Amino acid sequence: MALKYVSEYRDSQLAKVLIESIKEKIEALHSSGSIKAKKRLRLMEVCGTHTMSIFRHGIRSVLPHTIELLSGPGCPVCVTAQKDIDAFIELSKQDNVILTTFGDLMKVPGTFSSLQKEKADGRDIRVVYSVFDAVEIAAANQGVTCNCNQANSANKTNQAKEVVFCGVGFETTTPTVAASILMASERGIDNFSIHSAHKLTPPALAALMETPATQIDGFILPGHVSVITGVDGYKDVFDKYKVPSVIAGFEPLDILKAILMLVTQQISGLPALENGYERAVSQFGNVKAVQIMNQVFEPADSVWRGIGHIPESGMRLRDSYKSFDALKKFNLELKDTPEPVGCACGQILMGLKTPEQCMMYGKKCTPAHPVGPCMVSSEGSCAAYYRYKGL
Amino acid sequence: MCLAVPSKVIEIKNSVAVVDVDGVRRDASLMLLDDVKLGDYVIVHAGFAISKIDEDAAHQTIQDMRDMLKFADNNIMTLDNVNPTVTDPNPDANY
Ligand code: SF4
Repeated sequence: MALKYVSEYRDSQLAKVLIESIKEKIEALHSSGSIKAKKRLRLMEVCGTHTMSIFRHGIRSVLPHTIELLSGPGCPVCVTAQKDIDAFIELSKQDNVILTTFGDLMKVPGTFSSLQKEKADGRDIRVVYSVFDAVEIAAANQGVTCNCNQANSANKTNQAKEVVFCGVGFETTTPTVAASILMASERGIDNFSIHSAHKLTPPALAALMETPATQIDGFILPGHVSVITGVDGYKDVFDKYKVPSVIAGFEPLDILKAILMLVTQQISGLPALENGYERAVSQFGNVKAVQIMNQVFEPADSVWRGIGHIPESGMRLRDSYKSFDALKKFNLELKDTPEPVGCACGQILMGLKTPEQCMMYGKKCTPAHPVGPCMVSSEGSCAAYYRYKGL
Repeated sequence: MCLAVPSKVIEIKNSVAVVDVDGVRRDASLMLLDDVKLGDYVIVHAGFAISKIDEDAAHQTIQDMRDMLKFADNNIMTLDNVNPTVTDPNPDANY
């Protein structure tokens, strides 16, 4: 069965027209001298799902060689700082805890261990599809005293367990975690907590623009982050840096269309913030999701792997929801820990290096034995390179 | 984590929708999205519906690309001195 709103966006005939049009425009740019002979047009996709889609559909291979696609800091697991990974591992070791997480985090190496190793050592760590499931696990482990009179079950007590969720992800994920906290709060589920390593996208774009070496000529903006933020979410960053920016969907035609729009902006010399994913993204975004996110969380400074400290780029629980803060609950503190020596994840996330330029790529570091998170997550650049380039 | 494929809403019960993608069904919370109706296509992220597909915009995007295709075909055919009347076989074939 053809999938609705999918197969139309994979039409090879239409793809050809877009590719031809991109080629023509790039040639025009070169012959007009607006791009110097050897200079490449550096376009960065800021979403792990785009990275995967670009590889899966072989988009790099059909573009003129003067267009360079860079994978930016858009893979949630990859941007998570080492100290947050260590905090998740520490939380899993607490007495009576069930740690719940998205699957991608399991293999990420912390300083001394990983969640996968801890699970093998007998810790109760469960992979969930949605934070929703984590709340239900908490509800089922609240510990009830049963006063029923049946002979065998009289006065039985199920011991309560603390359920902790590892909060990673961008604007798309944070509202789901906020909604789960509201739900737990309403239902009086007090054995549920999270550690928030959530991140905001626009401050990361600003940080990239503040790093001159990145030389970014255009952003392919993340489709599903934009579903939440709307076009307006990028307005401040765009107004400040005036770098061509187009919101893109995830099918091949969506990505080609966004690239064509970015190249067209180069030709006109007029950078713009445009929406190439109108079927899912509106000007204002998902107002309800933003409101729920802002009810529970507030922006705070945050550390990104390899990039470092970015002001107001993370989301922490507001004071009124601090009872859901796992670190507070277990009296733990975040400790600064160094990132794995030799891992170039940080430079890769900023478009300064490609995975093949990392000394460990394919040697010490493989998906089976990852050194850094970019080789772990299916959305990570190193994992995508390894999988689709066969080394 | 993010399901890029739109899912069709086939059942709604107490703020939870049952959605279908090519025969695979799962639950999606409607806590983050208002006004969802049966038959709508939604984007689901980690168990939550986060956006409704704007069907008019979806059709328009494809139509715009088809217009580009027609234009490209026309140009090629004119250059080759072939009869330039190009008819789109069935613009709505995919819907
Ligand atoms: S190949 Fe491995 S070590 Fe190198 S940057 Fe990628 S994840 Fe880090």
